[in-house]
Amino acid sequence: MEFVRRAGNAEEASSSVALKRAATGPGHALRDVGRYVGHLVVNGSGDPLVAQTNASAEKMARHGAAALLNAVQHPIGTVVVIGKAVKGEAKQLITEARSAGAAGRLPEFVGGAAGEAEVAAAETVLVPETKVATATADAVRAVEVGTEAERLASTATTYETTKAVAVTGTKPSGDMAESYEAGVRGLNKGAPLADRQYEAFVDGKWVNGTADDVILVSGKRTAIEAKFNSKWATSIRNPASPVGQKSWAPREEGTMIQQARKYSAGFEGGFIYHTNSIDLANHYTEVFKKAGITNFRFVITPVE
Amino acid sequence: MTDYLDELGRIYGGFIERADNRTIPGTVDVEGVRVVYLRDDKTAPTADQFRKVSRKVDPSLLTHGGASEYGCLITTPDGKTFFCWGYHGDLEGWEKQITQGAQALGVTLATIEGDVFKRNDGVEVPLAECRVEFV
Repeated sequence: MEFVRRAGNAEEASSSVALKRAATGPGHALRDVGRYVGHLVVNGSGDPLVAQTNASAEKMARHGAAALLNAVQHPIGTVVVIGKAVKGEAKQLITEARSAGAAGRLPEFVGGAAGEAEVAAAETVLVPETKVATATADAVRAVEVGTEAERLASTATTYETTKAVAVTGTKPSGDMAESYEAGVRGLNKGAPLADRQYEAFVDGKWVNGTADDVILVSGKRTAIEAKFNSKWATSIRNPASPVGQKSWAPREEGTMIQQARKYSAGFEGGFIYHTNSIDLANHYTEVFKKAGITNFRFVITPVE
Repeated sequence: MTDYLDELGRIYGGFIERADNRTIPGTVDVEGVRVVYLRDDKTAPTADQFRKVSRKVDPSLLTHGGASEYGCLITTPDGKTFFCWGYHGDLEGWEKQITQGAQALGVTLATIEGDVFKRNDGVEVPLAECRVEFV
């Protein structure tokens, strides 16, 4: 099966104008569809198709984030979620897309080839933007089709979004990061345990440390950390960035993994990382999973 | 700002316990977690005291897991104060590790059973008669 990657424009994608523009464009990708949540069906022959559901917008929206996660975890060969929707505008967007499809301007949405399973899954994919930050920038900017289940799932990861926090300062890894951390701490104000020390026995060794914050989530101690990122493309935490490819840079990723392992072992509730960067969240979600770390979640906390 | 915790709880996927309305650790069962109270001898920070106990037995009797402080102090009517840590993972291993470490160091341990604070030196006190502080 081919692997197709088509670049798009996330900002442009966030307008319904972009939706119409995409509708007239070539290809099968949901490129630039933006606020619309579609789904991509990879059929048995390996051709990527995009199917339209008959489910009502309201019904789809009700499924929310949990359903979205279910959808992306659906056995591959069936469904991948793309894009995002704005609460309250879902129905209009669906109608718009249907019109476009009917007029032949958006062939992707005519997809009658999807079977019942795909259609059923498709009912779960419309997600209020206020509740969920969809996936990667890539998921909004581009559509990826392929046989690699893990890769497909990873590009469609979703994150919960908190309200934004103010960041001041001039140094991304200095006062700006501290400012962001203070903002995240402010969000959790009234919850953290006063003492944040922990220790763990990992791989036959004792380790210990202090978390930024520890709160009780359903009775389980959970570490909270803030990971500010000013620009992923040039971030030291991004192995693909110019600085990330320096000989000493892998230590940054190693440091992140090491900290994650300690939190994972030290807190029964695992850990939650707040970040303003979906790219950072995507990258380290994969990195942590590959390292066997599972009890974590990334939350998007935008910068005002 | 505190009101935002309800929304944050939804985002985090669970109920967030507020600092001004804490549950005494050990009074409510939490799956996969046990708590233990250690006598605070005031000679060092409680985290250091805990580590001294937990690492006393070497090689370790636990295979994996972690522990952290709850920031809860309980003082019994005789004036002795205990601090709380919770642990998870290899629960049986942890229990042996802490019990044997404390025994070797002469540190009194305690647990909560029902409404009673039970010390392993034989003293049992209704929780209602103890002073509870969250620090």
